[in-house]
Amino acid sequence: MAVSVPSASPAADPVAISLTQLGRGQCATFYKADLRCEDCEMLNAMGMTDRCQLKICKIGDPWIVQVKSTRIGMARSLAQRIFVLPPTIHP
Amino acid sequence: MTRVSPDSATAGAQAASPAAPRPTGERRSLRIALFGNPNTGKTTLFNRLCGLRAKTANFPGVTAEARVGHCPADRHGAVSFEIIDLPGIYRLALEVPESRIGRDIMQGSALYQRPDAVLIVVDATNLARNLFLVGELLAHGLPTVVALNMTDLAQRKGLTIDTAELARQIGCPVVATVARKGTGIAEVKDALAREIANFEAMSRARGISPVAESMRSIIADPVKLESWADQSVASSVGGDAAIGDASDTFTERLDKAFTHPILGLLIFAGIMAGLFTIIFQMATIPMDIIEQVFGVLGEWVAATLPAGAINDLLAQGVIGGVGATVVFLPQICLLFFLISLLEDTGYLARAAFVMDRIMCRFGLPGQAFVPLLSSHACALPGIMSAKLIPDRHDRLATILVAPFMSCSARVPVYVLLTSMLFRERPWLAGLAFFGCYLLGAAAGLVSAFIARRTILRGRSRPMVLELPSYKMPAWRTALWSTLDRGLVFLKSAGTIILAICIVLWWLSAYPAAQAPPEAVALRAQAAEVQSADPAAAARLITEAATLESSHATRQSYAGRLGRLAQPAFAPLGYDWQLTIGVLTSFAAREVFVSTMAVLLTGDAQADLTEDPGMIDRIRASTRDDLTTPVFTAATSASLLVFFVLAMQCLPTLAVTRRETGSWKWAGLQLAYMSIVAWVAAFITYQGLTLMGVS
Repeated sequence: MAVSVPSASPAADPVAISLTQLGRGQCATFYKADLRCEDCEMLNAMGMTDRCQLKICKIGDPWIVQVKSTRIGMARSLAQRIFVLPPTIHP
Repeated sequence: MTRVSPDSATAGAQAASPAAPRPTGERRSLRIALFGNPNTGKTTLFNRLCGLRAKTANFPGVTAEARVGHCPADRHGAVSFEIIDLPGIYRLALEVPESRIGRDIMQGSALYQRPDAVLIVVDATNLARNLFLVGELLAHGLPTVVALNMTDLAQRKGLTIDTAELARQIGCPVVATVARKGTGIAEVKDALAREIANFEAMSRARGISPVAESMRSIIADPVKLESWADQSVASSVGGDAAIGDASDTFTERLDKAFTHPILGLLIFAGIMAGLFTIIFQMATIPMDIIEQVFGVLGEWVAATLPAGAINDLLAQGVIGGVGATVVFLPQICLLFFLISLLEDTGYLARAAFVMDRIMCRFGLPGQAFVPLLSSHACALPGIMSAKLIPDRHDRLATILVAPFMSCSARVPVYVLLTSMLFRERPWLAGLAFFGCYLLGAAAGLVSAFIARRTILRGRSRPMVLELPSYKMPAWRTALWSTLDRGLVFLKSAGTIILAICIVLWWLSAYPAAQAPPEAVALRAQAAEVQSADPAAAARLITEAATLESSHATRQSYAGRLGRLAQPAFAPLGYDWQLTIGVLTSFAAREVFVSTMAVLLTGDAQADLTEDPGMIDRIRASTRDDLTTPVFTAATSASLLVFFVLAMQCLPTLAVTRRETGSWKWAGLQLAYMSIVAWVAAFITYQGLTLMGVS
């Protein structure tokens, strides 16, 4: 079952892009995840909460992102279905 | 720098008095539920608190385990804590079995008893996320203490944590700890005792605590909970890395190497090769010692007790059976010790991603690799180490296919059968030997693929894992974990496996058969020539013993079962003797070699590596028609395929039942593997026969 978490509609923000479109070192704001409910809940529990800031630490498979102090590794197929708001280049 | 109160590492436990000994002198035990996110050092803290006074227990109705330990609450010893080390969870509200256990315990529902207090282990380097769980637990209104663990790592990262302010923000005492060094352990116990005493006094006066009331409204709204956590961190944590997004070049470089598609695979292969080399090399010595100890013990019992059924039962059934299982204990202990060390370094989480790319094609997660590789040594530790896999369906699929991997107990059988097939062509025998390993691994992966599309429907979930910080492993934790797994295995060996061994021994040893007339005649002849030619007499006695042994096996219940079951194995090319060998090897695969040696040559102490002539004697043996060899080429190939694929290990079945919590999965494993083995052996035998290979 595909579930969007958080509940904001993707249509409301047309600039949302897939996490996999980001490069290493870039930061972005978590927008939504089109994943199974349990995967969304797990990501949320790991700290990927509504509008949280995340930073790309490694691209490829696995994709590694940092949310606050948590480094989360995820399969590329999963990262593709996570959408973020436009990034800013990390200094 | 992490700040702690000058006189104590505890903050926020004002106006509290330690739980004093009761005037009546009665001993009091208080239940403490130990919670924490994964990778917070929760189990290390538990080990520091309880040490060896702990045991592993299963939660009723589920396969998850917890360790339960005891420790004195104070120096008087009148009050003690019963601490339950619960599985690591991110949130209480998650719909995963571990979180459900946490919720049930906190509510005292189902079969669980509500704890008297809660101890939450929090990672000082990742405070904000850890506070979500703290908030959920505080809402339950029980006396709660937070152990702010890994404060040394936080210091190194430049974090300054004001524990007093943090305690004020979250509304419960906070104790700074470094569990791996044992820092703050006494303070944790003091804080728990004080909180319980405070709670009891407050409950009598006011009922529910205001902290719990306030937290209930906060956790109802995820946004509020996150703001609460962020605000608590903002007020109490300072330093350059306070918001937690500081770059860590060391971690990033290691992650890049360890998860690289090629380099990561090479590093993983190197580490696994090292791990299994250590296991095989180092386990050999204690395994030999165990074998010798049980051998000497069996001989001593046999020589000491009067001959008869009790003697046989103890010497052969109990000591022989348990010894044959306990011999794997060193491999199991070494495996768990090394895995625990690897896990503690933070490497295993990265390795899981490397293997996930390959394993996910067969519906298995990357974490399944270690259990499957371990199963090449023995399926018992392999199945036990499947606990590393978080998803239940992934775990079950791994357990179900683990016995397909060629374990060390199959090696003597492979030696015998490949030698039968390619006696004069050792390179072909070696190729066949390797082929057995490949066939087993392929069958396991294909079976996992089928299982994930049928009984365990669903693809392996795309992997998402927290990548813990790299750190030096805690030897003490690894030792305790090893001891724990070893004891679990010994308990299993001492109960269900012992029972199985006794039953199988009884089936193969009874009813006791009278010596055959040929053997009686040989012994009489030996007696006549004893004084004239002692060497000839000894040869005659050996021949008589061979005949007696072979006759006893034929007349045993197992032998009769073999004759009864032979029609089922006839399409695979097996006569009644091979059928007995197959049936008796359900106790343990390697038994096949000794059964064949007893049946066909009468030598129960056959050792194929020590006695190359033994293979020739077995090869020369014939069926009842006295012309057809027992082992034709087609039969040997069919047997080889059967032994690669069949589930002939009752101890493995017992461990499967234990790890899955049901005989259903053990039964399914037995039935599925037996059918696959029978069909594959049938195809092999019939195919070769049709091609004219006999």
